[in-house]
Amino acid sequence: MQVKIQAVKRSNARFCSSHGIINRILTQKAAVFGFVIVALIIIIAITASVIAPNDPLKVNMSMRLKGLSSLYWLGTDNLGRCIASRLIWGARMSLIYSMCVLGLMMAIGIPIGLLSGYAGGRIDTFIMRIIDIFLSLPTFLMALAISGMLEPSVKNMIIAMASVWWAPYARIIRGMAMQTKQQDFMLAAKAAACTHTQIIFRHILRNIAPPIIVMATLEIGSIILAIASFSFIGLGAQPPTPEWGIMLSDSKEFMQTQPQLMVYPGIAIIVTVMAFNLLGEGLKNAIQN
Amino acid sequence: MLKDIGERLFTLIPVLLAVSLITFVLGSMSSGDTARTLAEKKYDRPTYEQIEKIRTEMGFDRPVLVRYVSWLEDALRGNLGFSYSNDKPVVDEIVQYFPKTLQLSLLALLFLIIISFTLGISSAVFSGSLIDKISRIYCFWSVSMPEFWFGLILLYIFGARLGLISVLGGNSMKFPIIPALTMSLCSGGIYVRLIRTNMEEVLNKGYIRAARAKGVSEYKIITKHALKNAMLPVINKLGIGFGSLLAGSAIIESIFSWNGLGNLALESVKLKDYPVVQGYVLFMAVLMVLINLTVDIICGIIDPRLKNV
Repeated sequence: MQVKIQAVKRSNARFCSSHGIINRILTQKAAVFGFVIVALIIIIAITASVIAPNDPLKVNMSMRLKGLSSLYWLGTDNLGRCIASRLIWGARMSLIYSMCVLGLMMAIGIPIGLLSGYAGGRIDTFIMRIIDIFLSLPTFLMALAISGMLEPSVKNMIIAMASVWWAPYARIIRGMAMQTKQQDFMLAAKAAACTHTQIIFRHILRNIAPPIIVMATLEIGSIILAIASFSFIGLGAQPPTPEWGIMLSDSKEFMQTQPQLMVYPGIAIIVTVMAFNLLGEGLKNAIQN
Repeated sequence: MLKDIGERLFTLIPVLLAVSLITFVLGSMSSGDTARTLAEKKYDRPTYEQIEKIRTEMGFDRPVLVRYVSWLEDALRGNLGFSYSNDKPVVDEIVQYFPKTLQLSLLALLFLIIISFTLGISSAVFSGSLIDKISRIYCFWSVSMPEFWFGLILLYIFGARLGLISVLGGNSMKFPIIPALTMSLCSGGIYVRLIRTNMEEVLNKGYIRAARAKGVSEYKIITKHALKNAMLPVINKLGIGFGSLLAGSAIIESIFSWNGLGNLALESVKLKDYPVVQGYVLFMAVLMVLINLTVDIICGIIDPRLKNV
C-alpha cells in the first residue's frame, strides 16, 4: 500500500510540474500571441448570440450584396445575409465541430494506443496492423468514402475525420505507453497489486497526459482547416449553416464582381488556424525543453 | 529482392480486403434505395412490383455478405459496376478521367520537389541566414493556409483579373500549372522542415567533418555526402505525399474546374452515383498501396541496409 501511495504521489508530482510549463510558454512571444488570439476566438464563439449584430440565417433579398454599414459591419452576401454575423457564428461552428472531432479521436485513439503499448505481444502486433492500414490511406479519401457513400452531413464528416485521425494519434500514445511501462514505478505499482485497469488509467495515462494535450492542441489547427475544406466542397456542413467553408463556396460564384466576399472567411480561417498552430508550437517547445 | 517484393505483395491482400469491405458496407448502408433509383430510371413512375422485380433481378435482396463476395468477384474481373447517371461502366469512367488527375499530381509533385529541396537544403546549409528565415515563415504559412482559399485567390488573380486562365472551364489550360502550384505551395512546408532537420543532422556527423578535413569541396560534401544520407526519410515521406496529392487533388480540381477523377468523384457524390464513388475509393486505395510498396522498394535499392529489415 505504501509503495502504491508513493507511486501515485510521484506521478502526481510529475503532473503538477506542468506549472513550470506555463512559465516556459510565457517566455515565448509567438505562443503568447497565439494564446491571446485563441482566447479571443473562443470568447467570440461563446458569445456569438450576443455580439453578432444580426441573425446569421436571415435572408433579406432587398439588401443583397450591400457594402459596409453600421448595421451590416462587413456588408451582406448574395442572399442579403449579414457577413459579420455569419463570420462570428462561423467561429462557434468551427470550434464546436473541431472539438467533436478531437474528442472522438481521443476517445478512440487513447484507449487503443494505451492497450497496444501496455499489452504488447500479439495484441500489439494486431492493433499495429490495423493502424498501418489506416495510415496508408489519405484522410481525404476516407472522408470522401464515408461522407460520400452515406449522406454528406456534419455528423458524417466528424465521424469520417475521427475514424482516420485516431490512427497516428494512437501510434504515438502507444510509444509513450511503452516507455512509461519500463519505468521503476510501474514495478512498484505491480508489486502493490494494482489491477491492469488501474495501472493503465491511473499510472500510465496520468504520466503521459501533458504530451497528449499538447498533441491535441497541435491538431486543432489542421482539424479546423480540414473541416472548412470539406464544407467547401459540400461534404461537410450543409448550407445555410454559417460556416467559413460554406461561405467561401458561396462566394465562388461572385468572384468576378464581388471578390471581397471570399476575403473575409478566408482571413477568419487563416487567423484561427495560425493562432492554434502558434499556441501548439509554443506548448510543444515548452514540453520538449 | 524479388522474394521481398513477393512477401510485401502478400501482406497487401488484407489491406485491400479491408478497404473493399469498408467501401462496400458503407455503400450498402447509404440512405438511398438503389432499387428504387434504378426503377425510376427505367419506368419513370415505377409501381411497387416493378421496384421489387428490379430488386430481385439485381440481387439487392440477398444478404450483405453474399453481395460483397459477388461484388468482389466482379471487381477482380475488372467490373466495378455501372454509373447510375450515364450507365457507362465505372472502370471506363476511371480510365477516362484518371490521366488528368495524374498529370496534375505529377506536376504538383515536381513543383513540390523543387520548392522543398531548394528551401530545405539552403536553409540547412546557411543556417540563420535570410533564406533560413524566409523558409521558416514559408513553413508556418504553408501549414496554416487553406489550400482551397489560396486556390480561389490565384483563380481570382490569374483568372478574373489577368485573364490567363479561364474561370469557368479549366480545360483551356494545356498544363495545369496554377492548380499544381497551389497544391505544392500549400503542402511544401512539412517537406522543407523535414529536409532541413535531416540535412542539419547529417551535416553535424563525424564523416562530414572528416570529408571537410580531407579537403573535399563544400559543394561535393553537400550534394554527395550529406544529401544522399538525408534523402531516405524524405523519399519515404514524398511517396506518401504523392498519394495525398493524387487523392487530395479533388478540391483543387473542383476549384479550377479541371476535369479529373477527383472532380468526377465529387460530382458523383452530389448526384448520389454510388458505384462511381465506390469505384473511385477502391481505385485510389489500390493506388496508395501500390505507391507505398514502390517507395519501399526504391528505399531498399538506395539504402541496402534496409533490405533485411
